[in-house]
Order: sequence, then C-alpha cells, then structure tokens
Amino acid sequence: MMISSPIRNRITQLLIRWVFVIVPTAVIGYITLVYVNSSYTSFSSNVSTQAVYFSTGLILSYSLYFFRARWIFTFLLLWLVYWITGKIIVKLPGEFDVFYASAMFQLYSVLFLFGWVCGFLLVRMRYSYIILFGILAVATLIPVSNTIDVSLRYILLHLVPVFVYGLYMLFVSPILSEDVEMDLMKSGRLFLRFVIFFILVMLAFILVEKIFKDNLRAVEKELMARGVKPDDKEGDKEGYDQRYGLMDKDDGFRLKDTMKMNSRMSQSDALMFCSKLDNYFPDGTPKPLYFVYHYLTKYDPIKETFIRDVSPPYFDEFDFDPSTLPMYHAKSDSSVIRNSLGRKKRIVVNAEIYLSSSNWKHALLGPGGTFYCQAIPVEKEFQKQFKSAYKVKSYSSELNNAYFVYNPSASPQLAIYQEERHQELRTVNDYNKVDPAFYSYYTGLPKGILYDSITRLSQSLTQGMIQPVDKVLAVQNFFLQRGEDGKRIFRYTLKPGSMLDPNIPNASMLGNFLFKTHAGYCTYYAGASLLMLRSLGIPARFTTGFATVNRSDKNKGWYWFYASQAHAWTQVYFPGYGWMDFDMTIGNEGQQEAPKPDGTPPLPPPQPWLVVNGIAESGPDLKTKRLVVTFKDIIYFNDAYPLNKSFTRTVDASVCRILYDKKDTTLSCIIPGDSLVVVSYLDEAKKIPAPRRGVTIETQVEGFPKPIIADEIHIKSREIDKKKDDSKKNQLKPEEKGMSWQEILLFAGKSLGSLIVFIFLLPLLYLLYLMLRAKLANRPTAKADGVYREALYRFHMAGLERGGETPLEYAQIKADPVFHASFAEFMKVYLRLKYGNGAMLAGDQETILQFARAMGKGIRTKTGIFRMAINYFNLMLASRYFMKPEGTESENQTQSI
Amino acid sequence: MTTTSLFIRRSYYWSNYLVVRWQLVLTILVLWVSGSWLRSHYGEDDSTLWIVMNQLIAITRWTIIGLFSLGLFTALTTWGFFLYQVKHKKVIFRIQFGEDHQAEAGFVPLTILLNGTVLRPLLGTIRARLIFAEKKLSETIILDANVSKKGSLWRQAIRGTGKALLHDRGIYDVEKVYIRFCDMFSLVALPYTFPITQQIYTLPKALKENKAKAQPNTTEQQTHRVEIPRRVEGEFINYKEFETGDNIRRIVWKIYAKSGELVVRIPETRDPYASHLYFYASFFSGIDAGIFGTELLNVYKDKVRNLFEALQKNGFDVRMPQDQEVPKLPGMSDKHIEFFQITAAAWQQQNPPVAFVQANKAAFVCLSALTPVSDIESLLKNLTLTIPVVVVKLSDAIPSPFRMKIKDFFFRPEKQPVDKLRNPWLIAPLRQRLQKNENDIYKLLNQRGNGWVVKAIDLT
Repeated sequence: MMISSPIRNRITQLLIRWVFVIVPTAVIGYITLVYVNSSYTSFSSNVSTQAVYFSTGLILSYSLYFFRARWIFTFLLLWLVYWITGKIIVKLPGEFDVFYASAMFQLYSVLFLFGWVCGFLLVRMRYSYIILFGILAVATLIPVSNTIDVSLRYILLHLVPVFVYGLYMLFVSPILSEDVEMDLMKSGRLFLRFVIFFILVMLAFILVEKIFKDNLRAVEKELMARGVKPDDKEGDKEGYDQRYGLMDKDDGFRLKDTMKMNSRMSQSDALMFCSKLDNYFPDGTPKPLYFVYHYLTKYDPIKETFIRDVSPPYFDEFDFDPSTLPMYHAKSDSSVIRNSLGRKKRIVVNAEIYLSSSNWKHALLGPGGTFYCQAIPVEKEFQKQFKSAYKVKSYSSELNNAYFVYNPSASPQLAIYQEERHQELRTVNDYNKVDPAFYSYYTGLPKGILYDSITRLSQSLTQGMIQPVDKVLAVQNFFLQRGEDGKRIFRYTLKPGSMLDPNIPNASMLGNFLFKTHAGYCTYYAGASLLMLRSLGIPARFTTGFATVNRSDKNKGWYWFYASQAHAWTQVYFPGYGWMDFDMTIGNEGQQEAPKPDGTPPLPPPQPWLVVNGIAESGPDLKTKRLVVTFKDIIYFNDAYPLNKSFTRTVDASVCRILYDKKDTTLSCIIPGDSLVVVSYLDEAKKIPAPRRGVTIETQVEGFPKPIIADEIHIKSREIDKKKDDSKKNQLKPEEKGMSWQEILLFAGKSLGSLIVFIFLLPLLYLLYLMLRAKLANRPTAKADGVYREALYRFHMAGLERGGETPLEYAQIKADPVFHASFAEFMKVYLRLKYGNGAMLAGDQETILQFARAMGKGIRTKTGIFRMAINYFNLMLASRYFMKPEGTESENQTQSI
Repeated sequence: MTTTSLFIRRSYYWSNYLVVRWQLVLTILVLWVSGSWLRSHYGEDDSTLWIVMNQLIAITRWTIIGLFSLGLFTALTTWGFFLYQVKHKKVIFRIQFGEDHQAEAGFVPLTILLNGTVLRPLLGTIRARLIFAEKKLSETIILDANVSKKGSLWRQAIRGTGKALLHDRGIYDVEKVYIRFCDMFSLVALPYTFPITQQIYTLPKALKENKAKAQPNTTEQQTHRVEIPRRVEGEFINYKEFETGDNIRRIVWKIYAKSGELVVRIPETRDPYASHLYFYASFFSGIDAGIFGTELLNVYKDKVRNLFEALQKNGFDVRMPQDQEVPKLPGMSDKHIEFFQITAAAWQQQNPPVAFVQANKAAFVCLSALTPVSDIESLLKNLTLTIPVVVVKLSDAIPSPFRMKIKDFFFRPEKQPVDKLRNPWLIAPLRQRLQKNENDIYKLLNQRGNGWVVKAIDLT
C-alpha cells in the first residue's frame, strides 16, 4: 500500500498512466497521421514532427488535467499563446516567409490542440476513450476511402490498429479509472495482462480471418476480375504497378485512381494506349488533341484540393464504362454536346483507341467532348500488346490543339495558328450572359489568407487587362517569367519537396509552390493556375488525361501514349466557344521524349455487315462447326436494331475466330447458354442482303442467309454472367449478403433479449431441475434429499424466506403454520435418514410422498397459482435463496476489529 | 437526509445491480454510428472499396463479437462457480481497515480478501465494494492480487487493496460486501452481495502539533504508571525490541548501528504515583445544528483529539470523562480508548456542561460553540480561575465557497465531502446564530481570563 506523500503518489499514478494510456494514444495518433498524410492531405512537413506536436499536446494536457488544472484557465492560456505567436509570425519580414510560417503554425497548432483536447477528454470524461476511438476510426477510414490501393492487406493495415486501440482502451480504461489507485506492483501485473490481451486479440483476428478465408478469397478474385491487384507482389511482375491503373474507378471519383502523376508514374515507360485520331490542319498535317480522362471541377475546402463532381452544372463528360459494351455495340450521350456550351468552331473528331492494359475498363478516354463510343475488336497479331479497343466521336473545338496548349512556339506556323486562336477568343469580353449557377460554380473559391494572397497576386498580374484570354495568357506567362539572372523562376520537378506527395496538391502545397518553392509538376501548375483564374472570375476546371505528342509522320494520325505522358492541365470557359485547353506547365523535357519509339499501329478491324447479340442454344457441332444461336438484337450495317421477337439461326463457324474474354480460343469452349456476339464481315463472296427501306427489320432478318457465316464469335466472360447471376441470387437471398446495421442491431437485440429471457427463466429451470431430481431419485435417502431441497426452494419462492433458523425450526415455526404440508414431520424422517443409518421405517415412504404432494397443494392454496408463477420470475427473490447458505452464516463472516 | 438525496442514493445503489454497464451501451452506440456512417458514405454494393471494406468490417465485427462473447462467457462461468463455492461455504470474506485495524477519517486504507477457490474471468476483474448503513457504498476495490499458498501452486486467496472515503468520524456499520464479476472489457458486471455484520470506526484527524499547558487539579492514588522517558545506560535489560506504536524518538540508534536491530529504551517510572489530569470535553449542543450537525461534530472531534494530545505533552496521564454512553466494540484494545470515545461521541442535549464538569477534578475544559453562552456562564461560576476553558468556534468549521488560495484559481482543489455544504452554510441562519454566540462567549471568557475561543481550522 502506497501511503507516501500525496504528491509523490500522484506522480506515480501519472507515470503509470503515461505508460498505459498516453503512449498507446500517441502511437495510434502517429499511425493515423501517417495514413492521413499519405492518403490525400500532405502538410509538406514530416509526419514525425506532426506526431511530436500531437503527442506534446496530449501529454501536457493529460498531465495538467491529471493534476486538476482548470480548463478555462488553460484554454485561455493556450488561446493567448496562439494569438501572440500568430501576431509575431505576421510581423516576420518577407511575404513568402510569412505565408510559409503561418501555414506551418496553423498546422502544428491544430495538431497540438487536437492532442490537447484528447488529453483533456481522457482525464476528464469517463468514457471519452470510446468517443476518441470513434473519431480515430473515422480519421483512418476517410484516407482509406481515398485509396487506389483497394487491397485487403492495405485496408486491414489501416483498420486493425485503430480497432485494436479501441479494444485496448475498453480493456484498460476501467482498470485505470480515476478512483483506482495503481502502484508499481499492480502495474506490473497489469502489464502482464496487456501482453495476454494483445495475444488474445491477435489470435481472435487470425481465427476470424481463417473462418472468413473463403470470403476473402472470393473478394480477392473479385478484385482481380475488376483489375485490382490484391497483392503487391503480383503487381511487381509486370514492371508497371497496376495499382496505378487510371481507369479503376470506384464509388465516386478518386484522384489517385485517375492520375498518378508523381515521380513513379511519370518516369514509367509503360505503354498505356495508342490512338488513331482523325484530326488534321487544313494543310493535312496532323493536329493532335489532348486526351481527357476526367474533369475535376469542384474545390473541396475540407480536403483543400480538387475533386470530381459527378453532377456539376452543364456536366459535359461522357460518364461511361466502355468495358461493358458488347463487341461492335455503341453508346452515345447527346447531353455532352448540349452541355459543352460551345457552338462556334466546333467539329466532330473520330478516334480509335487501343488500350494496352486490362485496367482500362471503368471509364472512357478520348479527346475532350467525347459523346459516342463503340467497342471494336483488336486484330489477332496485336492482341498481345492491346487488350481492348473502342472508337469514339468527340465534339471538339477547332481552337484546341495539343501544340497550342503545350510548347506553342515550336514552329512559326503554329505560332500564327495560336495567335489566330487568341484573336478569336478576344471576342469574348465578359461572362455577363453566362448562367449564374454555372459561373459561380466554376469560379468558386473559399475565403482565407492563402486565397486572398493568390487573388492579390493574380490581380497584380492582370492589371489593366479586360479580355479573359489576356488574363489567362498573363497567368501562363507568370509561370514562364525569368529572374534577374535570366533563369526561369518556376521550374519543373517531379520531386516538389514533400516526402509524401499526394499527387494532386492541396491548397497549402499550392501556396508553397506559388510563393516559396516555385517547383512542381503538371498538377501544381494546373492547380495553381486554376486558383488564380478563378480568383479573377474566369471559369476554369482542372483536367486530367494525357498529353498527346506527335513524334513522327510515319503513321499519320497515330499517337502513342506512355505512362510518362499522364498529364493535368487547365480548361478555361469562353462563352460561345466552350471549354478551351490551356497548359500552364513549363518545360517538362521528359514529356517530349518518348521512352520508346512509336510502335506499329494495329490494323483497323474489318467492317462487319452483321453483329448478332445472342445466346448459344446448344453446344457447337464440332464436325460441321456449326451452332444454333438465338438473338433478339442486332447491328445491321452499323445500325443497332432491337427485334420484336427472338430469332434462332444456325451459325457457320468453320472459318471463324473464337474469342473468350477478348482472347482467342476454340469452338469447343462454347457451351449451351453462353452469351455470344456473332460477327460477319462485309465480303463480296458472301450473299449479303442489302438494307431495304420501308421493310421492317424483322422481315429483313428473315431474309438473312442461312446459315449465317460468322467471322468472329465473342464469348462473353462467364464471370460477368456469373456475377449477374450472383447478384440476382443475392437479391433473392439477402441473408447471404453481409449483415446490414439494422440486421446487426436486430441480431444484437435478439441475443440480448434471449439472454434476458434466459436469465428470467433461470429460477423456473432450477425448479424443474429440483423436481426432476426428486422424481428420478431411486434410493430413499436420495429421494428424501431431493424432496427436501425442492421444498426449501419452493417455500422460499412462495415468499417464505428462511432466516437464521435451522431447517427443522423453519419447518415447524414458519412453513407448517402457513402451508399445512407436514413439513416438520417430513423433516424428522429426512434428518433420521440423513444422519441415522439410512434405514427406512414403515410409513417413511408414505410420509415422504405425502409431503411431496402436499407441499405443492399448500403453496397453491396459500399464494395462488398466479402469484406462485409470478414469483418464479422474481430474480431478487431467487438470488436471495442462493445467497443464504443453508447452515449458519457465522463461518462466512469477517472478523471484527 | 432529504427525500431527493435519499432517492438519488438509493437509485445509485440499485443501479449497481444492473448487469449491463454504460461501457457496453456506449460501445454499441459508437460502433453503430461508425457503421452507419461508413455505409452511408461508401456502402455502394458495387463499389470495389466497399466490397473489400465490407469484408474487413465483417472480420472486425466478428472479432469484436467473439472477444466480447469470450469475456462474457468466462465472466458468467466464473460467477456461477463463485456462487457454487459460496453456497457450499468454501469462500470466506475478510475485510481489513487501516493499519492495525484503525485509521483516521478520510481515505482509509481498505483490504478485501476472498479466501478459497475463486476464479477470475479471463482478463476480467473481480471488484468489491462495502455497503454501509443507509445504502452508502465505499469506493471500488479491484481484487487483483493473489495470496499464495505454501507448498501449492494454486493461490490461497485473492486480495485487493485500495482506499475508502470515510469522512465522518465515528462508527460505520458494514452491512454487506458487494462483489462484481466483470468481463475483460467491463461491459457487464455480474453482482453478488454477501451479508456481513461488522462495525468499524474512524479516528478524528490529527492536526498540527500543539501544546496546551495544564496542571492537575487534584492528586489521586494511581493504579497505573505514568511513563516518562529518561536517559538510561547500561545493559540490554533496559531495552526492548521496537514495536509499532513505540515512540520512534526512543530508538537507540547506536545499537541499530552495531547490530542492525531496532530497539527502544524501556522508560522507567519516575514517580509511580504521579498525578493525572482530567480533561472534560463536552459534546453538549444547546443549539440545533440540523444538516450541518455531522460536519460540525467532525470538526469538533478533531479539535478535542488535538487538545487531548496537546495536554498529554505536559507529561501527565490525561483522563477523559464522558458526557454520554458510547457503544463498545468487541475486541477493541485499550490503547486508543480515549480516541475511540471521542470518535464515538455525538451531540447530546441531556448533559449540560454545568452538570458534566466536576469542578474539583477538572484540569482542562473544552466546549463547543454550540453550547449557549448562558450554559458556559453557569459553568464558569463553578470553576476556579486556574482551570483553562477552551471553546471551539464552529462558525468557521465549514469553509466559505469564496475561500480560495491563489493555486485554486489554476488548479481545482481536491473534492471534499464538505464541499456540498459550503454554499448552504454561507447563507445558513445557524452560522449567524453561532457567530453571535461565539462573540458572547468571547466577551465572557475575556472577562474571566484563562479561557479562549479557538478557531475551527487552526488551533492556537
């Protein structure tokens, strides 16, 4: 027992709590900071430094409040220190230094304060650790939600620490509550318990993981099917880490899913895709366009970065997954044209895109304004290089051009074109006629020191300018300006300074970039220019995609896109012309040079006259190489037709390519029920019926040659079908899906209810046990003993509780006068049997049986059946029976002092 | 005690029998809120993230449920086993207060021991509280220590030590021991109460050392010796081994230095027939103290004890007649009988000081400010001027809520049971009445001389 001086004792208590509460909280704080930093917010500072500030706040506050410091006083003091330091920082010389110092100060003071509040809550609020656990869980899960690394291991690594911490705090807090005094001996034992606890928790996780092994495997398969590598090791095999797959879109939009334009991506020489773009200058020279992936239109003030909004005003992005298109099928979205808000200088540009990676299957890639997409096959000899392909049509601006937005002064002719473009855009003077909702959305910026600084900077650059395009050019020139030494002030770097580069920089990083470091890559230039343009009231958006580079004229119109060409730039809106590309990124030499020379373009696919989307009615006849297909929709000379009725036709597959999941296979792979796309090429040798006007498509189908000679048969991925089936099954059997919270709540409620019912039934169950025991006893003494115990219990439950008297006294004085069951007589027999030689005398048996019958009757008569039944649900009454030993109680009493 | 406070106390008492603890309710709530939040933000069935997260959340959920169930199961089984053991009288409870079975009021060291085969829930705890009369509960003690058994790997008992706040100076009736079996996360607490009959007492608090001069009023033949230490030299026969309670100033350090044994000198009787000294402390209350009575009594008892000890420093054997009958506790030693008499005393109205104090014997008289000035006046008429009279002021016994140290502005002082009386006391008519009475007493004693009014807080 520690009865040393109170302060010394208090310090011991504090030190013990430092070890068991503060250290784990600081550790989990550090882990959370690492996750938060690495996921979507970078503060341009070391995580360890951040953790130090958090921990300092935590430990100081915990210690102070442990010694009962008054919170009003301490918070006032904190505020005072914060205010004074803030004032001092503002007085520092140099605008850039002030900005940098105040940004750092804001960050660290927030972390310090958060640690402080955590410490305060842990000391002062009894169950605060549960709330803290909730906050940390959310703080960890938000970064998880932004990850591109949708792998089991990654998310498990994020989830486990915070849940272990939650369990740990649940475990430790009641032991370390304020009113429990700890000493070193106790804390030693506690430490041992912690070790066992952690082993137990780990074992529990491992065990559950084993139980869920099949489910996890299923998830892994599902991930693989979606193109996500569940295991990093596998990703290394292909050289290019598929986690960086740009088309891996999940719920909503994730920046990293789109563009991973940091060093790793930019230095990668992996071929992403190639494209045939039918866009030329009047003189016939190729006119490349940037390829757009997504638009980031919304500025999230919480994350301080640009995010994708799927429902902005006049949304002109074709939000579509091309991998879902059956072969040769097409999909278009006219709203893209409508929402482009551009009528002047618009043309429709065709392009064919050949994707080299199977990851490209969740979103569409094409020149800006893509509104049409058609799946096309890849010729056999190119299948190793290209996994899939599609055609697109884009409603593009004539004024857009990859040369204009990047490296504009490559040739005098291009400079002239560019000047013409600017002249054209100078006809736009203001945004007065623009929809206010559209205008305010695309010029929206939050308030704050940083944004005010950016506004001041932009205004100083564009003083006296009226036309928006001139302002845009002024911003562009700002990044190209040179210092007194003749060198450029801004420079291109893939390592802009932050250890944990988040790819899309946040506002603080852009502030650093603009005012301090002047170094960054495309996202920095795009992001900073976007902020500047918006601050000038010019609608702008952040665009991600690929920079198009025309490296040779060998294959006119063909462009090759490597990972290093992943790019971000700015689009500026001009009324009447729509969105115009402007690239503010300065000299990225790497982007001009291809890591590999351009390859051989894939052959264009043959033109089909008929595409049938059907089901295999039977397996193929391998001798005749024929099969029967039922179909209800077709593409006939590039026009899609839904049919009023199903048609069944024999298909001749003797000279046909069979493809499963876009890979060549054999005819024998087709099984009845497979979804098939049967393609027949235009061939003069075939008797191809020409489309007839004024005749229904059904009638024309009747006239199709029999059998239909197929050139390609695509077997749709059975996994996709299976998935559909599964989803149907899931709909039918919702219980097989993961439990919803309502179900969990219901389950918990039921379990708790069952437990409560069980507890309330315990007295009754005990009675049944006693009755059975008495009934089933064979030996007379056992029978008497059974009846005796049953009687004691039943009398007790009838409300006649036994005090300090012996059982015989109880029978004589209490029980018999009330219940008239001859309990005393029975007791005499029972005691004689128990303590005597156990021999039965004549009439003993009768006495026992008579009492056994009479006691129930006596109780029923006296208390009534209803009351008697109710009493068996009285837990307190029942517990008193067990608490009072049958003998005297003196043995259990404690010594008196 | 008011009906409301009685209701609150009883509600609090009965709430301890609830099996489900707040921790469980809050945990379920937080998990539910987190789960709902996750589902609402990311719960799109076809999302890749959700497919993975959902699976991992399921793993986490079942891990937590598994751990909770394991904790609950072991708590239930160990609790059931405990009930069985109790029913078959295989468990013995022992309680020990303070050191050597006595302690001053305040946080009293408390040890609870369960002798017998008692199993703890897996990583869970067994907690105990004492239930006093009027359903007052002591602080929780966690029985986390093992008492080993000689020659056996299995323990003999489990034990827990802690402190119980026993603020009132007096006798406490322990009625029950309340045991709870808690699972490893303290989500449930399975209760068991064991009836017990035990009385314990707390001593008045020792204040800072003082000396009050007094001479015996009369000399009587003594049957016991008054021990006064003197310097003794020579053989070891003059020494004895140091025991708890011996005055440490008598330790012979020279012997300790040589042998490492702590011994004390055996004091010799200077005068076996030395006079003793009668100390009359009256607990007469002519003014009804109402709800403040207990606290005023606590303070007064501390003063009386302090005065008693101060008188002892004169070297006389101090005797303390009682103005009321106090209960005797079985097994109590005579060592601190006077302290016990002080602590067991209560305010009384039957025996006024004038009847209680024997003028021919009294060497020192102590009265409380609850004694009306008229009674003190009557008493003083009987006493010679050589007999000192002390009246303990009680109007300042309960500190004003505005009485704060500079430190208190920055740090909250430790909570005291008396805190709840500070505001009511400030506006209580009793306080004003006491102040008037104390002023009158002060004037009276000034007129008489050899008497003084002492503050409740600092005895001067």
